[in-house]
Amino acid sequence: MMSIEEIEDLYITYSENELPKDKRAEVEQLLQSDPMVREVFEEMKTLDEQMVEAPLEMPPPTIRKAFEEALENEAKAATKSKSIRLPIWLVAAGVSLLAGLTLGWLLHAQLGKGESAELVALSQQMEEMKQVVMLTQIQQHSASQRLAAVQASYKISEPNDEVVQALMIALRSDPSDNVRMAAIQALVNLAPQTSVGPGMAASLTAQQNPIVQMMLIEMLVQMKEKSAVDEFTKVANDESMDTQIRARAQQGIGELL
Amino acid sequence: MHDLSDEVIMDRVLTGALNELTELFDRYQSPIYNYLVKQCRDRELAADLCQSVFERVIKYRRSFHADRSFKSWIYQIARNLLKDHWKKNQALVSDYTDLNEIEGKMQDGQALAEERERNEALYEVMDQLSEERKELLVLSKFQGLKYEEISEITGMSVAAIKVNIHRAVKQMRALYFATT
Amino acid sequence: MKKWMMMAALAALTGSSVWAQKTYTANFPNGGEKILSLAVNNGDITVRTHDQNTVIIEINGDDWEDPREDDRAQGLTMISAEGTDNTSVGLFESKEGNVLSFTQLSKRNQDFEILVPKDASVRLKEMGWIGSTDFIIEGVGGEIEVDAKNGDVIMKDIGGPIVVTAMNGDVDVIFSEVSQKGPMSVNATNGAIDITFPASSKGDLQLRSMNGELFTDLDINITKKGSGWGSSVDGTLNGGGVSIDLSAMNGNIFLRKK
Repeated sequence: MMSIEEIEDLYITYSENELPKDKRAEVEQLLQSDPMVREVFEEMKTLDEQMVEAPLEMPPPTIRKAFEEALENEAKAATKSKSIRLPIWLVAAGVSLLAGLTLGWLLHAQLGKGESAELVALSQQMEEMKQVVMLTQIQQHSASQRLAAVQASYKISEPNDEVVQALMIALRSDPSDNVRMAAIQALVNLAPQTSVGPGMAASLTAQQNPIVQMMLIEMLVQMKEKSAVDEFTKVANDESMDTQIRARAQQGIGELL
Repeated sequence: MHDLSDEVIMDRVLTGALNELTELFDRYQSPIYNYLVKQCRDRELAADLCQSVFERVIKYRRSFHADRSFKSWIYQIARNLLKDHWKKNQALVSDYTDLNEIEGKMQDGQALAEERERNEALYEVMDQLSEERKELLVLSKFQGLKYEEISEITGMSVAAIKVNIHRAVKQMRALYFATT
Repeated sequence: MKKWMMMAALAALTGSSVWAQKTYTANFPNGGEKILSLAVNNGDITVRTHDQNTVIIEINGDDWEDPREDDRAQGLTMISAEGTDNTSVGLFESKEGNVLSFTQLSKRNQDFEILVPKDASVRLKEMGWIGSTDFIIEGVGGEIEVDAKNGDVIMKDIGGPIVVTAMNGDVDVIFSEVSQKGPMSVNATNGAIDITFPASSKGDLQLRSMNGELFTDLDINITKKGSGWGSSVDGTLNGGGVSIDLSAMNGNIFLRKK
């Protein structure tokens, strides 16, 4: 005699097609002979069908209207920020991204002359080039100049990708932890307008200095960056890390969930 | 365009074709709205939240990573918004039931009214489950998501999701058929 | 090489016995800014100024601790992942742009006494965790960057800008003036930050201590308080000026008026 619980389990494995053929036949046999099994199976099936086939409701038209409006505004903002925002950052910042871009374009032109190289590969190369140039720029400028560059982004009201990318590079790879901390602050400032949280969270494991890790964790918690939970879990479980940081990460998981 | 995957469309959006987000809106407005309706049982709130979901998709599109699934990403956004809302507004009960009944009586014929009633009973039973199990049921049964997709959205392991959904179904059976 | 051996002999004769001293003189790359960079494994660094345009590095180490004293090494060159001994004093020297760089190749304890021109900038770094490198910097007129692991950082009679990271040691700085050339930043993970400014200094201060406290006798005009990071205050000195960020995780921050 099977218990109800056992019959339910049997239904679940049966309905999810997880039973081997001979077992299925056995179940079908059982359905014929055992009224209890039949009843539970029928109830389970009814329930399943009611849920799976529950009618969909029509979303009200206001949602589409709001979406179209938001999209239009975003399109306007995107063109505006491209033409105005980048130069301010460039002029203000010591780190010249433009140099990187120009070099990328030169490379682009050079390669494009003879053969029609694939655009994807090229844009990737440009991207790498830009990063290399960024990093070389970092070496050639003093830490104070790099700080000034990072802090210049505080003044930007509408950030664009180049700025965010430059700050992310600074956060991950600047040789000075001071510059990295300034980058955290700059990114936090940009957070209301653009999504920087996941990138910041991902940089946590690239940090060596507990004070930088601590500041990152604090800020991610303040930003309520839920995507940081995974990184926090890694930190909390990493025995090579500072105990204070691990404890803070553990606490942070609770605050974010 | 119609046969492109969500992720390919996102890639195009991110490289400049912002307007192609409309295609993703068309694909997801109904699933996301229905997910929200089932979760919060308040149409007005669901509409507001659904609107916010798409505003976030537009605003934070760059935080989408190409190696992830767009579906999981947008569900995650919806889920986070919902949780934030609940955190801010502790009262979880809404007047969905009343609204539903009135509308049902006024507009529907006999058969439809019966179906509505049945669904209403279903939702009432669901409300007796824990928040976690209810959410898993909504995602898996009502929204038809795969265990792997639910895992990406909730961060739970596939094994844990399976166990919880099975327990939820059993619990539902006991409650549902005890009441009818 | 002969020169330092002679000096070692001299030291032995004069009774200070076990200490070997070597001196190396170098020039900055032509023209422009003068930037000295030194990265060490183990040993203290002292930087002072002189009236010449050269850099003089004096290296002191215990005889028996100096791998170069090993007879077997005679006629051979020391190499490491950082570079080869192209100075004959156990340092790898390189020049790039305006930067004159040295890297200590040995991991044994060697102290570095350095003289630089008054207007030079310095970038000093403790590379690993084997030693405890104290940094003593006096009178340097250019920018100062220090990356310290176990040691303390002590500066006197400087104007900055300074950018300092100290992991386990304290940071003590006495400014003779506060340069407005560029932003400054000091962070100390486990140690304290103790800074003395002339009363008339101008700056935008951002002070943070996660677990420690803030103390001062300066007239700071506090503009903002608390941003979730333990004790934290933003304020201006004498109407504001260059940005000065001071962050400590476990130590206190002391700001003093000179």
